[in-house]
Parts: sequence; structure tokens; C-alpha cells
Amino acid sequence: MANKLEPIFRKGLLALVIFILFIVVFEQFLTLPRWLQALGRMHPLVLHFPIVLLLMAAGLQYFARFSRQSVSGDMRQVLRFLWLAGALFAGITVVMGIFLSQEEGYNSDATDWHKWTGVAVFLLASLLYRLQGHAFLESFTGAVLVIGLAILIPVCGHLGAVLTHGDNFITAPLQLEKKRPVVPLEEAYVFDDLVLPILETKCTGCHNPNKIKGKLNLMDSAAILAGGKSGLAINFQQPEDSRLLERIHLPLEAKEHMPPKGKPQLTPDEEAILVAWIKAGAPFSRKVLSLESSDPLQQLAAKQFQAAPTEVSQEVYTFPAAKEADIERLNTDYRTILPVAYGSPALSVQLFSAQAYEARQLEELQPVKTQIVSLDLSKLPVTDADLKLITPFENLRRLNLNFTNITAEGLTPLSKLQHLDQLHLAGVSLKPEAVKALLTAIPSLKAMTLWETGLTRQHMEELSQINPSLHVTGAFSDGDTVLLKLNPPVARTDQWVFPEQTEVTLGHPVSGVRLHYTLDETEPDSLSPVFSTPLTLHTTSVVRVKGYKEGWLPSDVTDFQFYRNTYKPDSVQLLNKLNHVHLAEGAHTFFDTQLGAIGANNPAWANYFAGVRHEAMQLVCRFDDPAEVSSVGIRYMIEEATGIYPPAAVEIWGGDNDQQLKLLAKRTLQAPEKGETPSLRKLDITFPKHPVRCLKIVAQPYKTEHPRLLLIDEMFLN
Amino acid sequence: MSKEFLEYGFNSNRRRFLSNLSLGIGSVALGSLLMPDLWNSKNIEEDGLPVGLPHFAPKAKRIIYLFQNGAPSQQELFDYKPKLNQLRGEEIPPSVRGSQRLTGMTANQSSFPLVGSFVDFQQYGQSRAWVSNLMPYTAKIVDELCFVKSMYTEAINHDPALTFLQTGAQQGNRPSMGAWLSYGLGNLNKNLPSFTVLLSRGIGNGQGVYSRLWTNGFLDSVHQGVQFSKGEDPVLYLRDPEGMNRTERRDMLDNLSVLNDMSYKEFGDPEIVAKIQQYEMAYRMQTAIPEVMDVSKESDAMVKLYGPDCLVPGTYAANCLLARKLVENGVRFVQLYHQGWDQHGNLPYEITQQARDVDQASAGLVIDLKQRGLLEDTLVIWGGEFGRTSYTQGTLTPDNYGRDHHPRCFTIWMAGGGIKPGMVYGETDELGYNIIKDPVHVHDFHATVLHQLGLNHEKLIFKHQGRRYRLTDVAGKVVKDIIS
Amino acid sequence: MQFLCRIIVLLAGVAAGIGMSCQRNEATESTDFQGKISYNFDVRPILSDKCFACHGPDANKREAGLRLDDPESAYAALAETPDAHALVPGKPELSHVYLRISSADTSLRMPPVSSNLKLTASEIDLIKAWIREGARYEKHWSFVAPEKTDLPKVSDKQWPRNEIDYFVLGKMEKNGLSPNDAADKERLLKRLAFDLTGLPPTFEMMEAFQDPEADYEKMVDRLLALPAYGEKMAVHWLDIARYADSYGYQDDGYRTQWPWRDWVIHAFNENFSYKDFVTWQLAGDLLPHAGKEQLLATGFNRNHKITEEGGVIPEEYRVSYVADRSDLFGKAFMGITMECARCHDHKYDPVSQKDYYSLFAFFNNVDEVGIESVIGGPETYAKRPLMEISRKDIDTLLTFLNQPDTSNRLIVSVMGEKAELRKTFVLNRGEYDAPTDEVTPATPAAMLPFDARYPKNRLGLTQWLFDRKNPLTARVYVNILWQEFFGQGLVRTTGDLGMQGELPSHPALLDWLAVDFMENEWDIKRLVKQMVLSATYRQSSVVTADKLAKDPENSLLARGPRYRVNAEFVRDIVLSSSGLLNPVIGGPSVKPYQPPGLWEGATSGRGLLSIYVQDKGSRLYRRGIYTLIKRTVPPPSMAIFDASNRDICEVKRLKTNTPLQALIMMNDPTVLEASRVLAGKLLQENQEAEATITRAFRKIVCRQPRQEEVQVLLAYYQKQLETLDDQTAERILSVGEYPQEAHIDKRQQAALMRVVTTLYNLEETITKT
Repeated sequence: MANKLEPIFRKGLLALVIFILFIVVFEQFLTLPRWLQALGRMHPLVLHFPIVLLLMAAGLQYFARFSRQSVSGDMRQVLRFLWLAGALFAGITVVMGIFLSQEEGYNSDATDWHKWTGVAVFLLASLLYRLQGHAFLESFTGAVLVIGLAILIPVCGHLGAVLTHGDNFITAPLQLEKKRPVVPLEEAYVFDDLVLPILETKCTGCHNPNKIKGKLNLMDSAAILAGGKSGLAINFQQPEDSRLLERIHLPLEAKEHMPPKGKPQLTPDEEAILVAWIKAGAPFSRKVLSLESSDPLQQLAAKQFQAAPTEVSQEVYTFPAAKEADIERLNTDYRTILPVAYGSPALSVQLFSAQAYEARQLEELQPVKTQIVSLDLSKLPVTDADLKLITPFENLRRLNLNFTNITAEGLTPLSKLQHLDQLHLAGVSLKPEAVKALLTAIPSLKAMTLWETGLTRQHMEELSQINPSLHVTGAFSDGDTVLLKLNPPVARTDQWVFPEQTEVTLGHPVSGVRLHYTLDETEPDSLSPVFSTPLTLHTTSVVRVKGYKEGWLPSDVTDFQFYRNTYKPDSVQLLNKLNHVHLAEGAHTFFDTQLGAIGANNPAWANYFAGVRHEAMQLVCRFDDPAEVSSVGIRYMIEEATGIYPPAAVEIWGGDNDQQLKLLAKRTLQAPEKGETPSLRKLDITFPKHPVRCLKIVAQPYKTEHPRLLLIDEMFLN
Repeated sequence: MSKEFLEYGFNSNRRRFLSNLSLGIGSVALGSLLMPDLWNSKNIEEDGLPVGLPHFAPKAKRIIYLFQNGAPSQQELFDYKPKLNQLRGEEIPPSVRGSQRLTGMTANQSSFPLVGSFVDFQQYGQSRAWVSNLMPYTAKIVDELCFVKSMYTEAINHDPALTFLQTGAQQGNRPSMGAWLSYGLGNLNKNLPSFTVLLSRGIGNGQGVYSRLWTNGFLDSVHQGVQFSKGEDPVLYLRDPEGMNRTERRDMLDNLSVLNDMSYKEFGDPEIVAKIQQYEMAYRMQTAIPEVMDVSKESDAMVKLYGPDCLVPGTYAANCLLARKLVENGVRFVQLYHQGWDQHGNLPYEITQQARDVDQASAGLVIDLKQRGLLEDTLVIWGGEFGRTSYTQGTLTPDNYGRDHHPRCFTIWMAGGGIKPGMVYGETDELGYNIIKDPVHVHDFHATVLHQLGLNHEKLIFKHQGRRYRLTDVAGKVVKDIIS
Repeated sequence: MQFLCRIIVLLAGVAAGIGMSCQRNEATESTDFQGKISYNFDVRPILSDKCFACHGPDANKREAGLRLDDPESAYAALAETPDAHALVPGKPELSHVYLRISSADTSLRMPPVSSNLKLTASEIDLIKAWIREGARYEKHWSFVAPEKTDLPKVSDKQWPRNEIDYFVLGKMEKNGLSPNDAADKERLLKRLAFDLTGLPPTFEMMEAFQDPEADYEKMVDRLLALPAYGEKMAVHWLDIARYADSYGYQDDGYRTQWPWRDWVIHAFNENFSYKDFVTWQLAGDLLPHAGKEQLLATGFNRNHKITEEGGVIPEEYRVSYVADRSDLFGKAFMGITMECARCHDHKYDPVSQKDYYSLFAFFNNVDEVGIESVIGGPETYAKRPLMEISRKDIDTLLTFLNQPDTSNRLIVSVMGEKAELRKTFVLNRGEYDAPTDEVTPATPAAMLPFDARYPKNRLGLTQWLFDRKNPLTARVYVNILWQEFFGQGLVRTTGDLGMQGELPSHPALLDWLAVDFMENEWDIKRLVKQMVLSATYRQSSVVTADKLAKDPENSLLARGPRYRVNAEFVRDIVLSSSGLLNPVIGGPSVKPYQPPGLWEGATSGRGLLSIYVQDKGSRLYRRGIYTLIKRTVPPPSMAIFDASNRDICEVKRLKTNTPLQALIMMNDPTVLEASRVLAGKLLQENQEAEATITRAFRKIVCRQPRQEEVQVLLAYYQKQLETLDDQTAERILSVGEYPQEAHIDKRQQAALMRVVTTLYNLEETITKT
């Protein structure tokens, strides 16, 4: 029978050789379907066959070579068979082994050793099989091969054993999943539940019985006490000097530093725990709570046991990913479809722009209906009818329908969404019954947003009774009942400074506010005239406004100052230099209708005031045609604290030209009080009407103690 | 030795060998079935992950950063230090001050008298967090907030500190946080910029802001922060000119693309197609943005939630309201700046005004997001660029004092976006000068924020002029304790 | 273990070979390399990118004491396993470099997983092949002084017009590409005018050049002679010099540095040799009998940001200024990212932290302080050392300055040495308050040691820079200029010719040009002319699908350059074609139309630049280069078109394409006003609608429109005419401050205005075609 079957098996073997070489070369690309993993797990089962077969074959071969008498035909047959079978089984075992090694936790050195030796055994075996009946086999090298194999097999076997029974096998998977046995703080032991877990995750990878780096094993108390090559790990006399701590505390770069650079390092907490533990004399059998609460260990422990999640827990979706092409195609200007994360099949969909919305946008999503886990339709004119279109989205977890046009009735079809765990319905008018019905239909619901749905707190509590694990978000506070003061009214005009007249429109940011105003400088109240149509002002005047609205406290009174400046000079000139920091627009500053403001970081402060300190401000205004001036207004700033003073004295000179000016008026002003609050003032100097072609305004800065700054932003000639 | 084997294999009988080749190929093919990635080079990506997607499932999709520009004093707002009031006027112990370098403003100050908060604190909510009376509205929502009292930075002056917090480097032209996010996650709403900036100013001592804070740096300029300003043109040049309506604009664009398409036919340059698309997006922005900006339909209750100023364009309150509307519409990162927190002097008066500017609207924003179910995946951050000293700057008078810059500790709060609510993290010493528990460096803060958005800060990389850049430079670790 | 692995891998390699002998795939394709493997061009980029970070020049970060950038160390026995070697020439299977990068064991594999770096299969194979060929190292190409090689042989003898073309064609033929035909005259003229003047050709030029007799070279000379040439060339230099009109930082106050800018324009127009141009700017103050002009030139190194924020620590900032200069010197003149060595030894280039501070020392003796004054009046518009420029100076020496008559004195920040030498120290982690070893001025030895004959100051530094043996200077600037005219440098990373930079697409050409540049006394205009006269430059920019696939980046130069012009020139095109352009050269920067509130919203409220006071009249129509740059709020229309914010030295601008750019072209008053004015002018010529539109098209797109183009525009025009009513027309025309032409039919003008705006929005209009 062997003869008939052999060719087939032979082919099989060659296939195996190539296949195995291939996968070991490109192992890093290997990704296994689950069913193959199952196959892999049969590795420990199968591996015994090749061992037996090959050892037998090797033995026979050896016997055949050294028993001088020539080997019989049957003998050869048997040999061939043994080698072939052995090699085949070895191959299968290797393949399974490699599959198995793909599972997590098999990346230790031991694994590699085992893998390579295993592969070697297999190749050697196949080689020896191919060499059957060839002279080469008789040669010395041939013998070496056979013996080599005989030695290799147990070696390989042992390595495997280390893997299975060595601790890596048990702890490795645990390490990777970072799952610590959950022990309530009360029952927690310092060593077993605080220290050991750390050692297991960060140290025992290298310091375990079968991989005793530095002759140190950290697997159990006994071993730890035993210490390692460089002596005791823990020094009970001076715990601080314990070698374990020393190594941990070395800088990361240091060769001796533990854990070695590149391997996962201790977190500050873990380090703290080890330190505290050792400093506490490395107790092995003490309960955490037996330490007094002041003990750092105690606190660290507390922290450990209310353990923060260490990685983002990603929900695993079992459904297949959608076609790239579909996602590509369905992503439009107003519809965004994105995988929830790199490599995840799950999609989240969001639609935008009420204007652009049409039900079709939902219909079109059919190709990806299985993959959609999150859908956001907030603020779109979605109707009850449209909701039927989303019922096929079987895996939908999160649905946002805030401020859509749906109604209580529309909710019913949603009950098909059995995975739904979040439903946002803020701003949708609902009926408690409908919501309750939905809630009973979808037990998976965990969170609902029901603000502005017409449901009362009462209702919401009832909901929580239906599904205790449900979290309902209602109104945070009872919005409209609070009384707030209205903010100040506003005034709009294109001329705050005007030649003949200006139009003023009053307004308020909050809609529906009644604006009561006065023009006679009296305080406006709810009896004062209400603003309706734009006001027309002809003279310098102040509009005082106060806003009223039901449900609000009235606003403060706000004053709006308007200035008339009948005669704008055709040319202006300053006879003295301005203070270099306060140049503004030079002579033009005073008639550029730009009003300054107080406040160091208000640009209108820095830019609209022209100033002098040491010499008087002498402004010459010229008019092409005589101007019938009878008053001069000067707007200036007082900021006593920073030494900005009013003019000490102002003189107005007028005439036909510079040469023949006569003094029209003179005025002196009080210096400000100490600590007087900053303010903007307007000085009005009136005098008998007098036609002038040239008007000279001289303002003297104050000189009390030292020269004071005089800042003027605007002047008004009427 | 293997050679011998093969030679032997070849010589012995080439025919059979060849006949077996097909078999060999078959088994290789079988092998390759198990290795989907072997042949497609794209998965052997050099820097690992493709951009435009979260690296893992994110807790937050968007960020609203309420930046308090000028550095609010933690002592008067959230970091309650009664000890400072007891020791009022006493010198700060050198042991506490240590080697902390001083700004030029206090460098030659001979005495450093401690000063406590002029305003009282109380505990609120289940978290019993301390909040000063300057922040009544924030006090009401402490159970939604996570206070980090142990933030620290490296710079002691505004410009470098701001730049550091926003770009991860004190100087140079690095992309800002928002740009990195836009680069890392792409935009949700194709008709809006994914990174927007809103400015407002209080009456307090002002510190300028600069476009460098929202620059795209070396990233493509589509990631640049787009400033939304008050006035008719919320985005620069958005408004069609006088006398042009939408149909006319559409008409113009149609003709334009016909012409552009002609030159595409001639030149075959893909840039031309790209250009046409950009014009189309511009057109869509012109409708999308006004739609978002429109506050006319906000209810009175909403207005009261944020405070009536939310209807006054350019105010902090208005920007908060706008921020909510923007994230609702898929904007990834909304960056607010409120200027005026730099209280070197006259602190009691100025900080009271500043707090009044921001308190209600900040709290209102958190509540509003919560009510809409947006808070859980929107991360809200409130804070400045550094803290302020526990000692007074200049002379201490009975009713007035100031505080200088202090990089060693400052307080921020975060809400939503998978951050633990109702938590206080980190601790400063009783003089509020040094951190004694859980310090959080600016890089750690960045790492944590990126992490909440599903990005691994070590893998979010851009290669420029031969170097790989990260927002967190070469440092930063995620603060896991504050993640729920 | 290793031994075993080796057998297996060998076995595996061969067997897998058999297995796949009939079936080729990427994995094996990548392994066949044509010809010998070059360390510089094939291997080093991989090592530098993926290995040098830990096995490179940086001593502090070096792992296992192994350097792969230096053969000594790489061939030597490994420190940690003395029986093994990183590289064994000829024997990959013995070279641990190969074994580690190819290891399947993640705990062994290099680069380590933690580094987030990964070698691709082809990279691994390449290194293997290199080792087999003997693992030969070469000095980095850009650190070896360039030499002229003979022109490559080319089969197409007709095409080349000058040397450039031989190199380019040679490369093309190697890659089985052939050059495009020459661009048609109109397009060529437009390209030329853009490149040499930043302006579209005048109507008259277009007419003249249409003449079949018209000579290309004559046109080149004519354009080179225009003063606009200086303005065009200045733009890239202002980026390098991070020129701006404000100090940056906190308050961002105003500064009067513009006289330096005017000097640059002047220098380009006078065709200063690159040597003098740079020498004056770096060390004009140190030149024997230096005059005011040389001094003004040194403003170059004071353009950097200067703080006016009260309360800063002066030394911290002074150090940052010096660092800024050193970084600029590295980036702009040496093409090396010096700044990397500020905090630690350079990870990739042979520049130690000591080297950095030795270079730093040259700039460390300026007689300056970290903060001289907080924001204030005119006396703060320049910081010491400064020069005052009197009327007299302007009338006699500095005649190129365009100073309006204002009372304020004109001061400019310039360079000046301290009397007593300021010591320089290596700063630990680059921190101003952590000085370690003292250093003296010197340059990185790896490029070219600092000759003892040279004075140890900035003047000496320039002598070193222009030493014929300096391998970088000429290459770097030739490359920058190439980028100016072809859109991208022969080395794509213009600022980094170092180890991490990209490799030259045409190394021989770059070297030839560099040497030629030096041999001809660093004559800039000559170099420019060389480039634009080449057949390479004259090719049409049409790209066939085939070429696009073969060479998407056009690094083989088998087609003409085609890309959007720089921000400044977008503005210039609009103003000039509409006839609005005010051609005045130089003077204080101007404030054209800008959306309201930008400055006011971002300001600290202090200083002259806290409010944007828009200019009036002709100042509204100056070239883009004169638009005032406030660093913290750069002019939006510039920023949106990728202009530099002038924060730090920039040698290469992004070229992006965003919706905001579209919005500007559609709605910016500048464009709309230009459209209005042009429309008005054209209507006054009262021709047929078709003729008018054609004329508009030629002025703006700089070529004769095709019939179908005219049809589209004409139809659009007619439609507007029908739909627009008078008062809408009024509103449409209400844009901009330029006086409205009288007695023109408003509806016609409005309709035509829209056509013109459409033309301005054409992709081709602002694109160099």
C-alpha cells in the first residue's frame, strides 16, 4: 500500500515544505481566521506522533548504518515510510504550532526557540526522507544529520514544554488583557493584590523560574526572598537600600535600570506601591486595611481599587465592513459618513443643512444600513414618515432627533432598533405614553434626552421606573422663570457728530423690548415716550434710554451723546508739536468725528486723543467763507490718577486772518480732585456771534507740581 | 548544507521537480490567503496610521476651548487657600518660592507679601468643589465639571505661554491644537471650516491675541483656524457684494466653471478641477454659515441661560452661544479667546468684571450642551495660559492688590467629552504656590485632549523639512485618572 | 539562536524563491535595482530617516554606542556584543544591521516598535543589497564642494538651447520622457512677465511680442531692466529676511524698517552680486569705510521679532534674537536646519550643539538688549543699535528711499558690535539661563572649517560663506532661485540640503549651475537670464495624462511650470490689469482695504497699530509688497494666499487652494473696484460688446480668447444687461473709493463689471501658465 500512497504523500510533503518555509518567512503578515486558531490549539495533541515516528526512524537509520549487514528491502520500505510519515506529521505539527503561536502571549524568546527548532526538525526530517536510498546518507554528514535530528527532537520538545507549563503560558494572556482579579478593598492583601500584580505585568516576563534573568525569580514570596545573582532583592535592614528599589530608581538610560528600556515601564503609581511596600518591610501576608489609613500604601491601594479604566474600551462590532466604494459614493456635501475609528466596520452618519434636507438622503443609505451605529439628524425637518426609512439600520446605537419635526406618533417604528442605547429627542413635542411604550419596546436604551419635549420631571421619573438603568436628561433649570436684568439698549446712527441734523435709531439686542427715552436729560421711566420711529436731532443733545420687557427686570439707563459741529474748518494747523505719544491724526484729530473713549486697552483711547504736556495746544482753523461762530466746544479727558488733567485755561481768538486775531473768549478750569473717577467732559465756551475766516484755539495744560497731560479728541464749532 | 539538498533535488530529477512546482505555488497561494496584508504595500505605511480618522473609538467628537486670555487668578476663582488670608502681608517663605524665576515686573521687588482672596469661597454639589462667589453660575454646575488644579507650564510671559498652550511650542510657527485636530480627524460638515476662532474682550488689562495661535503652521492651510467675527461678514469676504443675489452668484459660478473647464481641457492640470471644487465649497459656505450664525430664533429661555449679552455680537456670551451652534453643525474645534485677565494690579475690581463677563455664559454653554445630549461627546475646556502668584505685585493696600504671572500651578476645568464629571484633580500646597499632587504638564494636557478625540498623541505626526512633528513634541502622557 | 535563525532564513529565502519563481510580486520587484546602489541617493535617506535618530550624530540620544552615519563605528565590533558587527561589507547575513531590521522578532526588530517607525520590505532589501555590494559610505553630497561635469549626451540635439537643457533632457531621455513643445508666445510672455516683474505684460508688450520677428531674448532684457524686477525679486528675500512692519509679540507695535526693504529692491535692480548683496546685509557695518548704505543693509538681521511686553526677562529674549539670526543663517545660506542643534546635537546632520553656539557666537555680540522699551511713540519705531536717516542722506546717498515729508525722524534698526566682546556659552537645552562651556566663533567643520585667516566676526563669516570651497552657499541660492522660476527647487526641501532633506532631482545640473554662478561673480541677473532662456523654461505647461501618471510632481521637468502666483502678485495682477496700479516704488507700507475689526479685535489696545486706519487715494493701489504687515494680524488677503506671516525665516511658501481664496476673488472690494474701474475704462472706448469683452480678456488673462470663451462671456453679459435694473446697477457700482467715471450707462458698466470679475476669478488669470 505504501507504494501506491507514497507519491501522493510525497507531493503533500513537498507542499508542506514550501508552505511552511513560506509562512515562517512572512510570519509577521500572518492573520488567522478563528477556525484556524482552533486547529492551532490541536498542536499539543498532534506533536507526539512525529516525536515517536522520527525517533524510531532515526534509531532505525542509525541501526541500519552501523549494523554492517546490508539493509533489507522491507527495512528500506519501513524506513521510507517512517521518515515520510514522521516528516508529514512534523510538518502538520509545525503548521499548527505556528498558528497557535499567533495567539496572544506567544512572543517570548522561548516561543521563537521552539518554533525554529520545530521547523528545523521538520526540514531535517523531510531532507532525510528525500535522501533515502542515496549514497550521501551513508556519508559522515549524513550520519551527522540523523544524529542531529535525534538530538534536536527532544530539545524542541523541551522548549515546547517550557511554553505550556512555564508561567508565561498562564500569565501572558492575563498581562495583555490587564485583567486583575477584582478583589474588594476589604479583602485585598498588600502583596497578593497590590504588589504581585505589578510584578506579574512588569517583571516576571524575565524573572520567572524558566527565564531567570540575573538569577532572580519574582514569581512568589519565597523566590523573592531568595534574591538573585547580585544578592538579595530586598534589604530588610535598610529597606531603602534594597537592590530592587535601586534598579527601579536608576535613570531610564542606565543599563541596569529595571524594567529595561524598551520594555513597559512602571507607572508612577506602581513604582510608588513597590517603594511603599518595601519601605514597609515588604509584608507578604498583610491585609491592605490592616495598615493605618495614614500609610501611603493604604492610599495608593485605595486609588488602585477604584481603578481608572486604562484604555478606551472599544465596542467590538461583529458585522462586516461596508464597501469602500459605497461609503465613498454616499459621502456628499450635506451627508458625512465616517468609520467610528480606524479599522472599525461601524459607521457614524451625520446630515447637515435644513435647507438641503430631503428624505432621499436617508433612503440612499440602504447599502450601509448594517454598519450605521450612529445617526445625527438634529435640527433637520425630519418627519414621522422619514423615520420609517431608518428602521432597517439594525445596528443603530445612537440616534439624535433633537429639534426635528417628528411627533410622538412617529416614535413607534423606532422600536425595531433593538440595539439602540441613546436617543436624543430634545425639542420634539412628545407624549409620555409614546415614550414609555418605546422604552418598554427597547430595553437596551441607556440614555434619553427629553428636554423641551413637554414631559415633566414627574414623567421622567416614571420612565426611570420602567428602565432603572436609563439615564434621562431633562431641563437643567426652569429657564424662563428666572428674572434677569435686561442689558443696555443700543443706538445706531451714521453721524454721532453732525453738521445740521442726524437720525438716530434705538434698538435692543433682545427682541420685543420696549425702549422708553427722554431728550431733556431727565431719567426715563415706563411713562416716558416709547421709541418707534427714528429720532431726528438738530442740536447737541443726549438721548437717555431705558428698556422694559415682561419677564425681565428693566435695563439700566443708557445715555447716548450726539454733537453738532456746524462749521468744519476748511484747513487746520497746529502751531506747537503734540506730545509724541499722543499724535493721533495731528491737527485733523479734532474734526474727524472720531470720539475717544476711556480705558487703557480701548483702541479709541490710544488713537483718537491728541495731547500736549509741556507747551500749549494752539490750533488754527481756517475757513474759505466766514463762519458765524458763537460757541466752541472742547471734549477732553480727566484721569486724575494717571495725571491727565483738563485744560488750565482756554482762549478763543478770532479774525479775518492770523495777523489780526482778537480774543473772543477766555476760560479757566478747576484742577480735578484727588482720586476723582475718570471721565470725559465737554467744555462749552460761548461768545457773541462773530464771523471769522480764522479761528485760533489755545488750550494750556496744567502745570501743578509738574506738567500735566491734556488730551482732546474732538472740538465743535457752532 | 541546504545547498547540497537543493543541488541534489535539482540534479536528481528535474522533471519531477518541475511537475511539482505548480504544487509549490499552490501552497504558497494558500499561505498568502492567510496574509491579506502581504501584497498590498499601503498597509506597510511608514508612519503607521492614515490621517483623517480616529486611531481608536473616541469619547469626544468636538472641542470647545474657552480660553481665558491673560491668565485668570486661581486664588480668586477655584483654588481655595484660606491660609493665604491668615498670612496676609507676611513674606512668602523662600523655601516655598524656591528657584522660581520672576518676571521683570516683580524681579526687583524687594518684598513678596502673601495675599489671600478678597472674595469668599463655598463648597457646592455632590463633589463639594470649592468655588468663589465670583462664579455663582459655575458653582451650580460643579458636578458636571472636572477641575484640574495642578496644571503647570514653562513660560512666564504671555506670548510664549499662550503659544505653548496652543501649539505645544513656545516659539516657532507650529500648528495649533485645532489645526492638528482638523488634520487628524478631518471635518464633519463639508460646508464649514473644521476649526473656528471667536474673539471677545473684557474691561481688564488686555493682552493681544495673534493669528499665530490658530495657525496651520506647516500643515495645509485648510487646517487653519477660521476667525468668525462680529458684523455682517462673520467670515472674511463671505458676503456677496452689493446688488448680487444667490441666483446671480450661482449664475456667475456656472459660467466660471464652464470657462475653467475649458482650460482644464487644454492643460489637463488637476489643480484646475480642484479650483472648481473650492469655488463650489465657497458657495455652500455662503449659505451654511449665515444659517448657523442666525440667533434670531433663540427662545427667551435660551437667552436667559446664556445671559442677554448672548445677543450682542462679539461678546463672550454671544460667542458661547455661537460655539454651541457651531459644534451642533459639525465644527470640530471652536476656540474662544476672552481677553482681559491680566490682573497685575487693581485685581479685585477687574477680576470681578471679568468673572461677570464669562461666568453665566460658560455655565450656560455646558448646560445647553447637556440638555441637547451633546455634552457627552463635546469636550469643553475653560482656562488660561498660566496662574498667578500667591504674593502681591507692587504694594499691598487694604482694599487693593495685584498678582504676577505664575507658571508653577494654575487651575482649569473640563466638562463632557468622556472626562470624569464632578471631580477635582491635583492639589497645590496651602499657599497655592507649588503643586503637591498629580501635576499635569501642558504636554500631558494635550495628550489627554487628543486621547479623548481618539488620537494617539505619539502617532499623530507630520513630517516637515525632514523632521517629524507632534503636538506634544517628544513628551506628554495621557492623564488617565480624569477619564471616565 | 542567531545561528539557527540564519540557517532557516537562508533556507526560507531560497525555498520561497523557488516557490515564487513563476509568480512575481511587489515584494520581489522592489529588490531589483538598476545599476549600483548609491549610499547618498538610495541608502542614506533610509538610514537618516529611520535610524540616525538613535544611531546618529547626537551623542546624548545614541543607543548602544552605535553610529550608522559614520563607517568607523558601523564597521567596528559592536560595543555590547563584541563578536558581532553592525556592518560586514559584502555579508548581509553577518551584518547585524540587516539581521535586526529583517528580524521577525518584535523584541529584536529595528527600528523598535516603540519608535512608531517601520522599514518597508523594499527598504530592507535595498539595505541588504547595499551591504552585499560592500556597504560603501560616501560623504553627504551637499557637503562636498560642487564641480562642473561635462554635459550629458542627448539624442535630441535640436531641443537644448543652453547647458541647463542638456542636463534636463538627459534625465528625461533616461526616463523615457520627451519635452513638451515650447509654449505659445502669449503664454510664454505672461509667464516671463510674471516671473521677472510680478506683473502681467502690458498691452503694448503683448502687441509687440505678437510680431513674428519679436525676439524672446530682447523681451527678457527689457523686462529685466524694469524697476518692477527689483520688487518681484524682493518678495522672496523679504520672506527669508522675515521682514515686517511690526515687532510681533504682545503689543506688536509699529516699526520703521521699510528703508531696509527699499534697499533690497534697489540692490536687486542694481544687480548687486549675490556676494555683495549678502555681505552687506550680514556685515555691512564691519566693512572697511562702511557708509550709510552698507549700514542700512544690515537691517536684515534686525528684522526679527522684538518684544515690547513689559516684564519679560531681557536676557531670555536677547538670546532668542541671536538664535533667530543663527537659525536664519543655517536655513537661508547653508541650507541646514541649524535650529535642531540649539538644544542637543543635531540628530541627522554633523552639527553638534557646540557647532551651533560657535555659529551663534558670530551674532552674539550685537549691542542690543532683550527689551529696550515698551510700546510707545515714534522713538520706539527702531531699537538700538539704530541709524537715523536725515533728509540730506536721502537726497545725497540713499536716493532710492522714498520718504514722504513728515516731521518725524526716520530711524531704522541695524547691526552694531558691542565695544567689549560678549562671551558665548553652550546653552544647556537651549535655555538662556543654563550656560555651560564657553565657545568662540566658528563654523561647522563638516561643511568647511573656518579659515584662520578670516576675522572671527560677521565679516569673517561672510568670507567663509563666499569661499570658493564652501559647498553650500551657491547651491542653496541657485536652488532657491530655481524654485522661484520653476515652482520647486532642484532640491525640493529648499531649506534643508542636509541629511534629512530631499535629494536633488538633477544633482549634476545643480552643481553645474552653482559653479557657474560662482565663476561668474555671483551675478544674479545672469543666472536668472540663464534659467528663463532655457528651452526647459519655455516648454508649454500642458500635461498629458501619460506624463501626469509618469511624473505627477514634474520633477523631471518634461513640461513647463504651472502654478498659482504668490499672494502679493495676485493683488498686483488685479490692480495692474485694471489700470489702478500706483507704480511708485518703496516708502512706508500702506494700509489698503481690509475687513473692519480685525486689528481692533485682536489688539492689546496699545500703540499705533491697535486700530486699522485705512489709507486713502493712490495709497490704496500700491503693489502687494507694500501692504503693511502687522505680524500678529497679517493682512488677510495675503495670509489666505499662503503669504508668510514673517514670524521666522521662510524659504518656501505653501501653495494651497482653499474656499477662502475663492471668497476673496469673488468679494474682496479690491477685485470688485478693479472690475468696476476697468469696466468703466473699456466702455469709454465704446466698441462692440464682443470687442470690449475680448479686450478685457486680453488685459486680464493676457491672451486672445477662444471663440467659445467669448461666447460664454458675451451671453453672460447680455443676460446681466437684461436682468439688471438701474438702482441695482447703482448698488453694484458703489464699491471702492476710486471716483466713478461720469456719463457711462450704469447698467452696461455693472454688467461688464460682472464679466470682468468673472475673468479675475478664472483659474488661469492668477496662474502662471
